[in-house]
Amino acid sequence: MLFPENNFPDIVKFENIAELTEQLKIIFQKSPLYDTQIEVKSDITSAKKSKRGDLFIEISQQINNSNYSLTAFIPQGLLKYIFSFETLKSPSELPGKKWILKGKIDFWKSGAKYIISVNSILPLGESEIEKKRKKILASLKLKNLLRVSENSLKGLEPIKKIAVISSPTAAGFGDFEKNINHAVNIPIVHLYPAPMQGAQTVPGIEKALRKILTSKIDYDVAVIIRGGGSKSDLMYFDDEKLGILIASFNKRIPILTGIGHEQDKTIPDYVSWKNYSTPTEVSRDITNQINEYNDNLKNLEHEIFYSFKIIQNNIEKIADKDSLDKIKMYLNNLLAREKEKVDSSFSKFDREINDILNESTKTLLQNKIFHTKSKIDVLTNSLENKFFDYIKNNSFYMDINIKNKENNITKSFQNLTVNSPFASFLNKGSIIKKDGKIIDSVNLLKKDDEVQIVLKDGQADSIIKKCETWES
Amino acid sequence: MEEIIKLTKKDIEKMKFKEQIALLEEINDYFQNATEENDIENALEIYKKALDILTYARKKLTTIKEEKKQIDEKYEEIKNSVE
Repeated sequence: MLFPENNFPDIVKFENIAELTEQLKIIFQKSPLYDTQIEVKSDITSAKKSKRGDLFIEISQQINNSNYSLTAFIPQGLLKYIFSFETLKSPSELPGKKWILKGKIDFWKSGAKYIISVNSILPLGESEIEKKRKKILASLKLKNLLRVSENSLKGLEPIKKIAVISSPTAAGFGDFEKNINHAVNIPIVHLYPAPMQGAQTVPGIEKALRKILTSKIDYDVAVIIRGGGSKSDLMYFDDEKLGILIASFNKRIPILTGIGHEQDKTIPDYVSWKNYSTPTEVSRDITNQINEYNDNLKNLEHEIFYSFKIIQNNIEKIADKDSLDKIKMYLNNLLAREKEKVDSSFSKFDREINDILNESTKTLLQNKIFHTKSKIDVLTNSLENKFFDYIKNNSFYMDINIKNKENNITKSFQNLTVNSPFASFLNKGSIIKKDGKIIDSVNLLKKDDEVQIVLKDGQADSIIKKCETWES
Repeated sequence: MEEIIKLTKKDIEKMKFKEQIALLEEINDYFQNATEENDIENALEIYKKALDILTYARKKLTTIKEEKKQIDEKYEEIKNSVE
């Protein structure tokens, strides 16, 4: 024994999961079930071959509202013997029926899971799941609620609003959303969350459908989607009440279903307006409908514009010049007006949004400007007051200061002009010029030189009689 | 074609998308098979009608922002309601 009686440790530590699962396997190998032939009656819900050719079987059963499932395994080598004994041609013949499986229990360390290693398989009849489904279908058929012919999304108006019933965390919903974004005009998608497995499935969907109707939103379609899962997960969809609900809901809003895998079919698939194998297929078909409608309209638009242009050209050719000009002008005006109408209708919606945005921005800006202006006014008043106070207090000193500056300027002027050849002229004297040049030294003159004496109001010609230099 | 010319905007708006497309196809055929004797005034009237139909058909394909906002608000309201 791993833990001898009366000798349990407080804590058992393992270095890694492999060590732990190894220990679990040892415990199992010591149990009486190990290496013992067992027999179990069960529904087979799926049977798939691995790449190696081994067959993996899922067996499930619902007992007292609880789901039980287990994996069974038939190795490749044994498979053909078992199949030939049962005259089975392919694994797809196994699901949907009840079987007796015989074999031995094994414990797989890597997944820490028990499996039945099957060595014999015997038919027992139709599976409980299948039996129940058939019973519900028969009852729905009596009530004329089963879909009798296949519908196409092309029979519906362009899909713009979709109500989705799914689990928000389900991979199926993610796939659906991802694909719907490939539409030219992406529709509005509203999720109405509902549990997609277990006993809460039917009440959850029922509640979601009620909410869709209460919303008063005219959805173009309602979609029930759920990604893949085991048969036992999906068997909760096999419910008569749910079937009746969906069939009657179709009259208000068409319901599209995409539940499980390709091979799975549950009651909603038989009563919905249209059923698909997977959530991705639902969104792909919706996207196709939107894109096709869009392309059709675009093509027609181009063709009509083009063929009308041809008519216009033909008429222009046969008309005389005057009426041609008139028609041309008339047509151009008309075309411009009509084009404007179309353009304005297309851009109207964008403008509406922009107006709202502009209005909001303007209000914000106006508030900001008013606020800033108030601040500036307060600041200006304060500065003005400060300025006048300053003037009042300092006017005497400023007068003195200005006088001083004036004196300084006068002195600077005198200093600047004292050495200039114009100095005597500026001091109310005269300038002597010889040969057009100003003479500022007696040394530049000699007897009999002809000179001009320039005064402030005129000039006089003169001849030098004598030159005399002052002693310096 | 005379019936198409008589259609009012209200009539066109009420139509299903498929019906609108059918009318556009009819107009397109008419234009493509037009002869030189076709009355230009008549052709213009039909052309104007085609533009009206195109406008309404386009509306059926797109949801305007304001409409989307209103629908989303309704959805939020119902989503948050407790039953």
